[in-house]
Amino acid sequence: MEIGGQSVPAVLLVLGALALMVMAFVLADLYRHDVKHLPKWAWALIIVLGNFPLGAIAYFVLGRRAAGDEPTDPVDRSGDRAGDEPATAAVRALDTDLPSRPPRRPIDTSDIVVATRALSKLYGSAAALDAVELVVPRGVTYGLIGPNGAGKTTLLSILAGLRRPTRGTVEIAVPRTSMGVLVDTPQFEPWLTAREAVDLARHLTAPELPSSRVDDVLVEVGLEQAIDRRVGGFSRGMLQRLGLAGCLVGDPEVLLLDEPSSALDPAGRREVLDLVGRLAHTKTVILSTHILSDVQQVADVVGVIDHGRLQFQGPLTELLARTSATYSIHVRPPADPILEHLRRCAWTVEATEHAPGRIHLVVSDPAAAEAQVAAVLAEHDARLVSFNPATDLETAFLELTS
Amino acid sequence: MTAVTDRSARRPTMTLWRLELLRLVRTHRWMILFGVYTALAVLSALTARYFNEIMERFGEGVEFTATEPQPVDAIVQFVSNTSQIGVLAVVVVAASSLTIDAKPEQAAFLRTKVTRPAHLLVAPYTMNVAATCAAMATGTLVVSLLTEVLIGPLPFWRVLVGTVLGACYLAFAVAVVAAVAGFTGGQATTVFGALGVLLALPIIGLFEPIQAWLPSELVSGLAAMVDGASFGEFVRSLLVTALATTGLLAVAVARFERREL
Repeated sequence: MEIGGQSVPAVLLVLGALALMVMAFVLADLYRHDVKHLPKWAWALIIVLGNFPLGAIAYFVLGRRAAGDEPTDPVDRSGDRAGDEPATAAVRALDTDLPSRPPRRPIDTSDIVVATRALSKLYGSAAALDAVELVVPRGVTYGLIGPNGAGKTTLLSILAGLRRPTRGTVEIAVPRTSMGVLVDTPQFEPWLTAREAVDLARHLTAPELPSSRVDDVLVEVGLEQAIDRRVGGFSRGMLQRLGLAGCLVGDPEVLLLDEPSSALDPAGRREVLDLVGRLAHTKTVILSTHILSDVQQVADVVGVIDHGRLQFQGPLTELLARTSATYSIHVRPPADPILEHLRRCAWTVEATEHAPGRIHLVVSDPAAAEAQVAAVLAEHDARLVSFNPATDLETAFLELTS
Repeated sequence: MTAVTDRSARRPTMTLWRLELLRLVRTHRWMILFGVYTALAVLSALTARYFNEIMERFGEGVEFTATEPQPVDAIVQFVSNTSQIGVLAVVVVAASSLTIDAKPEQAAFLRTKVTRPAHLLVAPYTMNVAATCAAMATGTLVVSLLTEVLIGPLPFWRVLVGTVLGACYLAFAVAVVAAVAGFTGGQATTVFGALGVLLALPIIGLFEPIQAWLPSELVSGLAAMVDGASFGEFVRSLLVTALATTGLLAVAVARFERREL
């Protein structure tokens, strides 16, 4: 029998050779790329043993990881390492951007406990994190601030080992069991008591500690009245305190706290901030929040993140110093003529009215501005309420993120 | 403070094993397992014993040939009932504890406290297998005792071997749940996925050459053993079940470790 002048065995031979070549190509592709759902060996079996070309098609449709999701650089996480040895040796000397201006207390930038290099996380084509270079010295309280959706939770999740970066590396100089992680809305099995939930955390992270440690920590976070109550009846604030107790019970070296006071009333927030403040002398705390006053109260070092990018990293004092050329003017409305006049001044960089009568003024020459603002106001018979340098964290934050 | 400390010293340490035990006890899931298997055991023994009387009472107009009830009838009934409702209960209970990531906040609490996430799967898998096997053994014991009293004696060793075969199948079924949970994550999807896999096996078993190799063959092991089958008939199925269970657990671990919250 012949097909197109060729004998059937010859045609089959050519088709078989083609199939083998395609299979080899698919296997080579499998070798080069990361895969989803199954390990590589399982996909290789499916490609080879699957009814050709169905196995290969299944791999391309289901198994091959899209380019955007592909981890291109090796990720170095202490938690992924075999064993539980401290990874201090793995921490390289880092080119830190931490300035030499003295913060609230001295920061030893040579002893870095958490560092990321070019850390990126993509969800499809959207970048949740974009080349983040986080540097957290040992013993500091690091306030990670940013608007909603800025990437704070994603960054903390990667540091906690709950998510994998798409690119970049994470270096943590302590074993995973020495990290306490508090998610923003902690939840527990509702049929456990508070003591049982925290004791489970103690057993998993520091079984050598006595069980009395559980009660001590529960008292410390203000849950002494609910120690034997089942978690199912807890309010959100109590769950947050319980989550904090679960973090602290193992006496971790590093604490990752995602919005630790967001669900608490003002008194509860005060207590948690006091607690974080007390920890600051003995632990490294990375605290994510959108409540700027919390950060201003407890943080030594601040990282401002927006749209996945770390816009600023350094001592809080330096961030506040950046606003020394910014003023807040409050006059009785209308403020339009004053605004027009200010914008014509040579030393004005920016003058905006963010609320009726409230002017945000950025200047290039603070001395000139301070000398002449009064004259400008007087010329327009302005009813002045206040004129202040806007050296608060909120101003600095808005400048960086707006 | 001293009183609080004294109380805590008396309490058993919370481990992942105790967590699973408390899950079974405090959520009353153990009652689902033991209730289903025990109820089916009683029902099976009674219907086998009084089948003729039931048919005479309710089967008006239906002609049937009454035969003397045999002890094996009760076991066949029990196996038939538990292979559907019993396995459904096992899958539902196992899915509730093996879908660790179904609630990400709870999962985060556990995942961030172990060196390898896979450690979190050991206790739920083992406890579920132990509980389901204990429930099935209890059901088998009840049906055997009732059969002994109502119909006649059963061969003890054959019942025992049959129970072990059934337990092996249940270990496989729980491993299927663990593997499916690795792909789906949610409880409902895991239940339906695992049931789909377990129901597909008997359908595949319609292809006679491979029937004896399938794990589903072990389901009827108890009835077959009591009916006079030899243990050798199940060796192939046992071998495949052991390999499949190991493979499924490996898949479950791999999937669980790779998942992001």
